[in-house]
Amino acid sequence: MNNRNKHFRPESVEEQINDFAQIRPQPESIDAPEAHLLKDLRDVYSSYTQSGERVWERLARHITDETDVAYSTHLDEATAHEGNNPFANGQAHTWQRSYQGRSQQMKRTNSPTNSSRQATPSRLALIAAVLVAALLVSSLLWVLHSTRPGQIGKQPSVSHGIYLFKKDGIDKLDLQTHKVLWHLAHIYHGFAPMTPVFPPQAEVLGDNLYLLDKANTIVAINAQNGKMRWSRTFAPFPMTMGGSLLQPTLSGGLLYVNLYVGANGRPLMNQQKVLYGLDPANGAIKATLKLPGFARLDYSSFDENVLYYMNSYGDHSGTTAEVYAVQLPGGQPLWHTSTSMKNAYIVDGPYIHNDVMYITFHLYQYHDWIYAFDLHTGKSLRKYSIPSTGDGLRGLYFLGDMIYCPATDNHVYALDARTGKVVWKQPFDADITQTTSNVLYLHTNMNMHRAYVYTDLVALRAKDGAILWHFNSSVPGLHFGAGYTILNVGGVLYDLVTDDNGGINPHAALYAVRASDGTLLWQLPVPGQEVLVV
Amino acid sequence: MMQRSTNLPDVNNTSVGRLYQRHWLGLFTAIGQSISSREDAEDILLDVFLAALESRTLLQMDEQHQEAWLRRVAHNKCVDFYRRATRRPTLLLEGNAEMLSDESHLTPERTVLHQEDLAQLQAHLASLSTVQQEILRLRFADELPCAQIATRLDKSDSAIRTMLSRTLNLLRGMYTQRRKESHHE
Repeated sequence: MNNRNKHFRPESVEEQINDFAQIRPQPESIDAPEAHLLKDLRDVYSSYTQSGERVWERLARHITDETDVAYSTHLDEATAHEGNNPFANGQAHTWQRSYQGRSQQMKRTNSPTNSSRQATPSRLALIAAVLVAALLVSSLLWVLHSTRPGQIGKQPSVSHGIYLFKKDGIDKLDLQTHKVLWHLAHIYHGFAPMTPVFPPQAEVLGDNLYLLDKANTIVAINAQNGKMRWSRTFAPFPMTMGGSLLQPTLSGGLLYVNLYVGANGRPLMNQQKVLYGLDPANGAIKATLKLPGFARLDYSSFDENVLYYMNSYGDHSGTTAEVYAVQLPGGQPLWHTSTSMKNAYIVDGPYIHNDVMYITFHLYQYHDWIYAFDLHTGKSLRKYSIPSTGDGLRGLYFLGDMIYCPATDNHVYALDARTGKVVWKQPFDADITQTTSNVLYLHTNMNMHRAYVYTDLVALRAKDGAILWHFNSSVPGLHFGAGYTILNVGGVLYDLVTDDNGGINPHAALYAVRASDGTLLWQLPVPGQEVLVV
Repeated sequence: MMQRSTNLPDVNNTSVGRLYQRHWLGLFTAIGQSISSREDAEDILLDVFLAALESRTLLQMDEQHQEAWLRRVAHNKCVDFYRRATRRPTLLLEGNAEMLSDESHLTPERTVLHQEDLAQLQAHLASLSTVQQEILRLRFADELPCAQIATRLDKSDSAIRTMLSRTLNLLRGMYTQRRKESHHE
């Protein structure tokens, strides 16, 4: 029986698979896609299985190390005796204390010299990494710049509403009544359909809704009436590199975008260095700037039509951060500064507040430093360390003379911006999602010191960290997002919960919570679609 | 499967092992959509189950909510990873990933195209249901016949054959289309 070049059929699928296993598909051949598919499936799933075994081995070693063998095997015999369940009863406390004390030891640290795994990377691995990233980087980069702490509230938006990205197009709903204001039959391609956890790559600036639609295309839609305004497609990325348009930003009447070429969030040396200034009315290119270094807009800040951006370089001994200030739209250099720090491997910034520019370093030995520079000259002003013990800071937030840092050591720190003195410290594993003049709003978990999933929206008084109120999502399986900002309009906070349950139909609901006391005003289910609330 | 060292607890004999057995593949493929480095994806998968060890509520949830919880933890850890990873200084990528197959016999251009195939295939695999993924894994990694897969998953042989053939036809369509496109180019 010739089973080749035919659809797989239930009654003979076994035989078809075995039949195709006998032939070695020619790489250049366009025939026998089934043979190519089956070979690739074997390769992929074999690789997955090896990974699954490696991770289980590490997890099992942890279980064995953390408890004695009798505990870990008998206790989990389990299921018939919930009282023996290590997750569900008092024994969990013992487990948890023990775990927390040693978890950092068994985890692979970020030090590239400290891997415990058995993988043997190939020299050809670069190609694989780059190509996979080519498919992924656009949605992932959006996570970064949508979560960029310093940009909360900085982007002007005059057209508040709920934007639903559906299979048949885009709906805009009224924020209060949920009535559909307009529908545009434009299929949005900007988010990876297989990864619904990431928010849409869209943003409202001025009166336009901008979509980063496909990797190299930006689309502008009139946010008031839903009419398509313009679309601009840049040159395709090199096939072996991949890339993404980066965060559009309005400054001095121009819409700035640039192209990121790289993989896995790690810039490649040959990435493009061009910044485009577009006319928001028609998408025409008004400025093309070739800047020193790599001017990534997701690692930059605008202030008074000056662009500040940072590059960083390093090896295992330390890191150097270079910050450039250039005047827009011409791109004239204003100043440049370079700062090196031994044993640092994460660098973040620049953040701008009150004429001061900040960058942060994280060291291998669980320590963070904040450096402050004069915004107008680049001259170093001061530096201070934060006694954090995790894997780094999640960002810097500013109110008055205070700096707020949610850290991965499960604390939120409040520092005096002039001295670096810790004014208060609260035990929250949290993301700061919104600030007002005297309140910080966090996503966190009130029941767990290490949050993992964010079930609560918490309001903290900025001056002393006191809890003003907390709101629990109270819907099993639905959680607040990490890195999602929330909308604060007219004394109401609009926040989103999602289930991340995989597949193409995520469950989600939009909550409206009174900002003054955390009272739930309404909730709107928005299942199976991407949501942007601006 | 999942038992390479005799002094480690068997994956089927512990509640966390059973949780791992049920969800690791779906989580790993989902994480793989966000994290291109296999080593980093493994680290995040490990972190997710370390978090599960700490949770006092996870095992009280039904299976659907357990999956939602685990996927949310995986998502949060991916976000944290990217916050850290992209702020690392520029480093050479070499050594950060591994090849899925030996491609030393291919031309560089063909290698690139094949890696695109694999990336697209993995993206499609991530969109499949957990049971579809498990069937594919049992068939193509463990090389079990349909009858044994049916026994393992407590389903009928015909149900497994139907699901397997439908899944393969779905993926076959992707390959057919892609090869037509590359041929026309």
